[in-house]
Amino acid sequence: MTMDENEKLAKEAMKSLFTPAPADLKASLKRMARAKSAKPSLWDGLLESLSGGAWAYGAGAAFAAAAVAVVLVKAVPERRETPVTVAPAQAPAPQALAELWSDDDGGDHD
Amino acid sequence: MTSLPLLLLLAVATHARPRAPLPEADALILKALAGPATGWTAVERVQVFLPGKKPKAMKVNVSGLPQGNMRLEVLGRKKVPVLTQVRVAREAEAPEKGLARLNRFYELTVSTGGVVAKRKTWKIELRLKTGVLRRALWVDRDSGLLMKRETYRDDGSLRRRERLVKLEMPATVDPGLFLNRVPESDVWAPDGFISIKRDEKSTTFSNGLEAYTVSWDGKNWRVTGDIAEDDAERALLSNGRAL
Repeated sequence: MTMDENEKLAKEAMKSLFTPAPADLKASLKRMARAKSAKPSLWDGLLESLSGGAWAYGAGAAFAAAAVAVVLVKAVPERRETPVTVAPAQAPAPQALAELWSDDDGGDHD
Repeated sequence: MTSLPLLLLLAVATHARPRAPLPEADALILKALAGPATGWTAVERVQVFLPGKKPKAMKVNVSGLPQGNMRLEVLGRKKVPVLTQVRVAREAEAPEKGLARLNRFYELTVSTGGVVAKRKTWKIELRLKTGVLRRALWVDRDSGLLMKRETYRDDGSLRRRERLVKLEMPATVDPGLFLNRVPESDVWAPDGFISIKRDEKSTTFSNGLEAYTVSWDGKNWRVTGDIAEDDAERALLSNGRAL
C-alpha cells in the first residue's frame, strides 16, 4: 500500500467519525429542547388558555382572586351572635312572686 | 418576772401588722357603685324579715360585666330561673349621682366589715339625719363589689338582708346574656321588684312579700310602702322621667 492510499483511507475514516451538522441547526436545537422539557406549567397553560390578551390577564386574575376569596370564606368559621336566653317574656303573676320565697332560719351564714 | 408579760406584749405589739387605714366613705361608695373591673358571678341569698312571721328567703344567680351591667336570675323552688332582670350600666345613673343621693339622706360611716364570702370587706353604715340606722353595706376591699346589704326599720329591727354566698371573681361572663332583654317598666324599681298593678294615678311594685306604691296625690307624686328613702327618691325621679 502506498503512502497516498494510506492517507486517503485515513481521511475517509475520519469523515465517518463525524456526522455532518444539519443545515437548520438552530431550529433543530429548539425542537430538541421542547421535546426534552417537562409539561408546560399551569400558569403558562392558564395564560395561553386566556388567549394572551391584556384583558384576558385581568379576567384571569379576577377569576383567581374570586377563587381565593371563596376558599377563605369557607375556611373562616361563620360569626354568629351568642344565643340569648334572657328572661321569660312575661313577668310572673303577683301570686307566683310569693311562691319564689321559702321559709328560712334567718341566719347570717353561707 | 413581772416584766416578762410586759416584754411579751411589747414583742406582740412590735410584730403586729398595722391595720389598713379606713377608706373615705364617699370614695368607697363611688367604687361600689362603679362596680368591679372584672367579670364576676355569684349566688345571692335574699332574706326578708316580716314582723311576727317566719323569715323568708330566695336565691338569685347574679352575674356582672366589668362595665357594670348586671343580670339577676331569681330562682324558683325548683331552682329554675323564674324572673330575670338585666341592669344596663349605661341606662343607670352615674355613680356620682347615686352618691349625692345617699349623702342627701344619710350620714355615712366606715368601719372594718369582717369577711363575707371569703373576702375582706369594709362596712358602711347609713344613718338618717335623725340617727336611725337605715342601711349597712359591706363592700369588698379589693374590687369594690357590694357583698352584703342590710336594711332596717325605724325601730332598728332587721327588715331585709342581701348577701353574696358564692362568689367567683374574676369570672368569664358571656356578654350575650345581657342582650335582647325584655323591656321592663319605665319606672326604676329595686332588684326583684316588678310592677303588679297600674292605673292612671298609681303603680304598685312588689317582690312577692314587700310592696310599695308610686302614686299621684293631686299635687305631687309620692312613694309609700316597704322601701328605703334613697330607693324611694330614685323611683320617684325615674317616674318623673317616665312621665
